[in-house]
Amino acid sequence: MKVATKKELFDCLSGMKVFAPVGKNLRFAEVSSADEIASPESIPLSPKEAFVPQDETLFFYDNPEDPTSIVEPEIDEKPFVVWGMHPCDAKAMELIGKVYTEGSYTDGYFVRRYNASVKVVIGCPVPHPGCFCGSFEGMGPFSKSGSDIFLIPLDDERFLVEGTTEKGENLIASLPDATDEDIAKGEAQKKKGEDAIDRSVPTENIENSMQALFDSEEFWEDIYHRCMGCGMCTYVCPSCYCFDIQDERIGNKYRRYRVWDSCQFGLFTLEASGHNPRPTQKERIRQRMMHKLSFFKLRYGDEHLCVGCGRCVAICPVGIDIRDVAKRAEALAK
Amino acid sequence: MDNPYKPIPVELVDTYFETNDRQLKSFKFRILDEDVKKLFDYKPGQFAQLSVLGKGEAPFGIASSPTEGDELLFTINRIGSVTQALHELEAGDKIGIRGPLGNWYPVDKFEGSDIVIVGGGYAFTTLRSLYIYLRDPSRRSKFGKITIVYGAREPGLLLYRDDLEEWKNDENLELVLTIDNPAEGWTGKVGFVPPVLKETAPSSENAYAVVCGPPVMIKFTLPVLHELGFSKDKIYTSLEMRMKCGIGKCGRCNIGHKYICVDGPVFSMAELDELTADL
Amino acid sequence: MIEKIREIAKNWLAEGKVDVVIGFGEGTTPFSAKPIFITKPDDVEKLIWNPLCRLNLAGYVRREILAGRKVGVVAKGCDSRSIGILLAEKQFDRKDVSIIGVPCQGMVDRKTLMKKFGNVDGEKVSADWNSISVGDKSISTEEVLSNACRICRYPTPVHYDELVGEKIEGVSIEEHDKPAVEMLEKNREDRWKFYTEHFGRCIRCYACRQACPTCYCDECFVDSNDPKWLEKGQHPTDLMLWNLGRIYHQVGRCVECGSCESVCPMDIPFTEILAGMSKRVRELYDYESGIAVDEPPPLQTFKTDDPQEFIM
Ligand SMILES: Cc1cc2nc3c(=O)[nH]c(=O)nc-3n(C[C@H](O)[C@H](O)[C@H](O)COP(=O)(O)OP(=O)(O)OC[C@H]3O[C@@H](n4cnc5c(N)ncnc54)[C@H](O)[C@@H]3O)c2cc1C
Ligand code: SF4
Ligand code: SF4
Ligand code: SF4
Ligand code: SF4
Ligand code: SF4
Ligand code: FES
Repeated sequence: MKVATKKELFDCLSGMKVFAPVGKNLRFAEVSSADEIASPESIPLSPKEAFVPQDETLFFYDNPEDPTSIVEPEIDEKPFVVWGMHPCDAKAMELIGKVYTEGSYTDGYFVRRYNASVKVVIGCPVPHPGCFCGSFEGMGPFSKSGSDIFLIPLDDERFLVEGTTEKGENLIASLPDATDEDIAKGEAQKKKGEDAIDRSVPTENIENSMQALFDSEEFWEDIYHRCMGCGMCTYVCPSCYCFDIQDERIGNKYRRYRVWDSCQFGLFTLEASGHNPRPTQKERIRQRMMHKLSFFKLRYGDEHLCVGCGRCVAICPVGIDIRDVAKRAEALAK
Repeated sequence: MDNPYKPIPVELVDTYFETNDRQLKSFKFRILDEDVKKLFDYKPGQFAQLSVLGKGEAPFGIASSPTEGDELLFTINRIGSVTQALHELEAGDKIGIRGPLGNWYPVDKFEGSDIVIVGGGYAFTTLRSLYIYLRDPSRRSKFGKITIVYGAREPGLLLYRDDLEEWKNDENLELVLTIDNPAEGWTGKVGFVPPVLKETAPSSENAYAVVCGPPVMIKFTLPVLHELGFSKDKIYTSLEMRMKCGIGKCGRCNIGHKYICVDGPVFSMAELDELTADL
Repeated sequence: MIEKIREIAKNWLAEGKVDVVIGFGEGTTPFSAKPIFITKPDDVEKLIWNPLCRLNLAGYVRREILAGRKVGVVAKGCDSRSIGILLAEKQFDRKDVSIIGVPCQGMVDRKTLMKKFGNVDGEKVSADWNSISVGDKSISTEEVLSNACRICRYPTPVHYDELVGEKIEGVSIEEHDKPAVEMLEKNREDRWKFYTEHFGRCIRCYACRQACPTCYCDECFVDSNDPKWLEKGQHPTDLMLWNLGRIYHQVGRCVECGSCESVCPMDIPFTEILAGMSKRVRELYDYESGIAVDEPPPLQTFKTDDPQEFIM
């Protein structure tokens, strides 16, 4: 176990690009010094964009009439750092990884980024109001899964630093060892977070309860009337992975690119015939909740697509609260 | 890098209108690279993404059968931007293709059984592929009697009329063609597919049914099949839904815990029954 | 006041005058009030009224009426004006909606409060028109009023069936125009900088559009794929076109309710721009949105779907 200030840790990572929450909206972007990095209690937008950029070129081509003119974008395989992820975010990237590597198709764009990344994850002594990561089995505000370097904030200045993978350990080898006192303090911080986290959201069997309520007007009526059908909840969500694919012309070059998309948008499922299997917000918000709390687990086994980061809860302007949905589902299913 | 989004070049060998209203056109493509050609190993029921660069990509069922040789056949309804661009192609033009994608009709399961193929409108594409695959001399004897009930609004809207003509002489095939309203010179049946299927009354004993068509047709055909004694696990259909990636990544074609593009498009009615899904 | 609102809502539901009353109820997170849809007379107790009742409800009114319901709504000044615009645009008839008008003392953006108070955990939160407090920490409501509400010309509903509470005067034209003038006085470059800086942050979640009662096109110009007016990616030009296009389509229709600004996850400020727009419309056409229900907005050009022309 090591100990370091933000600056000292940053120095260990020198030579690599570092993405961290910065700017007015604490979006993950490249930083050049430790001072730029905000130490936010909450990050409204997730670090997802460091792994799955909102807008990503799939390939370029010079001549639309000639498919042999396709060239793939240059791929930077150099290691880079994503600093300031929370434990829930690290988990979410593993979940997206499941989708991107499942079956016979591997999404190289995600995979090489994920493999090249050094994930610096910060534990949460003070979870924010919407957080409920502790409600999921094996998760919590100090879960190390998916991290390379794990930080526990000791005070405003210093962190306990632990290399959780070989890659991470090597990077921090030069830092001074933590004293017993630091370690004890770290334990106290951890306990604080573990005690505070909301564990009351039922998740264990929720996939089945949700299945049983799929057709229940009574259940969905509570939320769908007010859902505005914006994409916020899915865009801020670290584990939402849906995207659209488009072609565009830039000057005399062309590219095919993908952009984040959302099941909350009406066009998402609109078919060329005019038929839309999810014609209203009722089906759309149901899709989100079902995917998060049921479909994903039924498909990929053992884990839900929600990691309890609470971002959608905090951001939804009309108070649609996934915790509440899960609780009501559990209560109604009984 | 693994890049499953990158299409491979194909050349348009031939294109012609398939229906009299010039809404549907057929396209025959040839894969340019010989090595890639060998990898494009498909079965009836699978689909592919066709890329008109600059316009976009759209999924289409493969209408040819692998038994027909190298050329890939698609039949495409002009309905939006990509399909419009496809209709404007001329022989010799090059576009991109990704595939084959999705699953296929469970032909192995069909061995030793009778097969009833029910199609409506232009959803006959992969059913063509299926029948041509089944009637291949190397394979035909493995299956029992085959019944095809295929309907369109009018004779000029039936797809693959030359093929249908040829199939008329096939042994152990009952080919029933129907149109919605009487038309001059028409010698087949008149009426919608479901009642014509009922009248044809293929035996459900040791038999499978495959149904593709517009949603209304499917809706009214299913009860007829049940009446004839087909159980849900013996009825297959191919679903359509808006797709983007075609490879289970973009999340668009999600129905319940399945993705149509990788777990389908072919499903049995029994499988669909188990899904909580918006269709 | 809330008692009166509940009483009217209860009566309307009991009489069958309306099928649903749209108002605000308690949210599940600190500082949130959520739109609720009351259909049973006994449920009117769930209605609340406080400075967090931020969003414009007129969009829901339209949606519910189109779904065939007789709608009652608890409306602030801005909600009532948006209903006025929707009436002027013949989206529904006046008789389809029954309005409980509530003069508004100004609303507060939840986002502002979340930033002010940080992590609020388990402490008691209260919000009224004097102060907003968490535990023993308290700030005056006035201090955190949302930008739009600071320059509201019509806090008292313009259209209503019943008015609950005393009428409240809006700000003067001069007061209203202040931020707009400041914006317009910027030179071209500064204004451009303002646009690029703010619109450049947009993540295209379309919450601004979805929250706006007058953004109701079946197919938004940003979604159209044929013709494709703009690309879907994150290119700054497209972000600019999207934002200016949306705003442009609100000329003469925007009532400056501030819903768009309040929901935007990227804190993009719209108030100055929208206020400038309404200033111009007032000066050029002597028209204020949502006041006269028989007079359609002067520029119905939003139908031509041309995001290339700006009036800004
Ligand atoms: C597995 C599978 C197999 C298929 N097989 C076949 C086949 O064999 N033959 C065949 O003809 N078709 C087939 N289809 C359907 C085919 O994929 C669609 O018709 C095709 O995708 C249409 O693409 P498009 O670009 O021409 O239409 P689009 O331009 O995408 O859309 C057409 C219509 O939808 C509206 N629309 C779509 N997107 C938008 C948007 N963003 N904004 C506004 N409006 C929009 C347009 O206004 C237009 O009217 C299949 C589909 C699937 C999933
Ligand atoms: S749940 Fe909330 S954030 Fe999500 S689409 Fe609905 S209104 Fe928008
Ligand atoms: S669904 Fe909500 S709480 Fe769950 S991971 Fe996504 S944003 Fe976080
Ligand atoms: S919730 Fe919606 S946007 Fe998110 S991954 Fe699921 S389908 Fe996609
Ligand atoms: S544009 Fe914004 S301020 Fe104007 S009416 Fe719409 S939501 Fe309200
Ligand atoms: S709400 Fe904000 S981020 Fe979302 S589309 Fe509108 S301006 Fe962009
Ligand atoms: S089309 Fe992308 S997941 Fe099926």
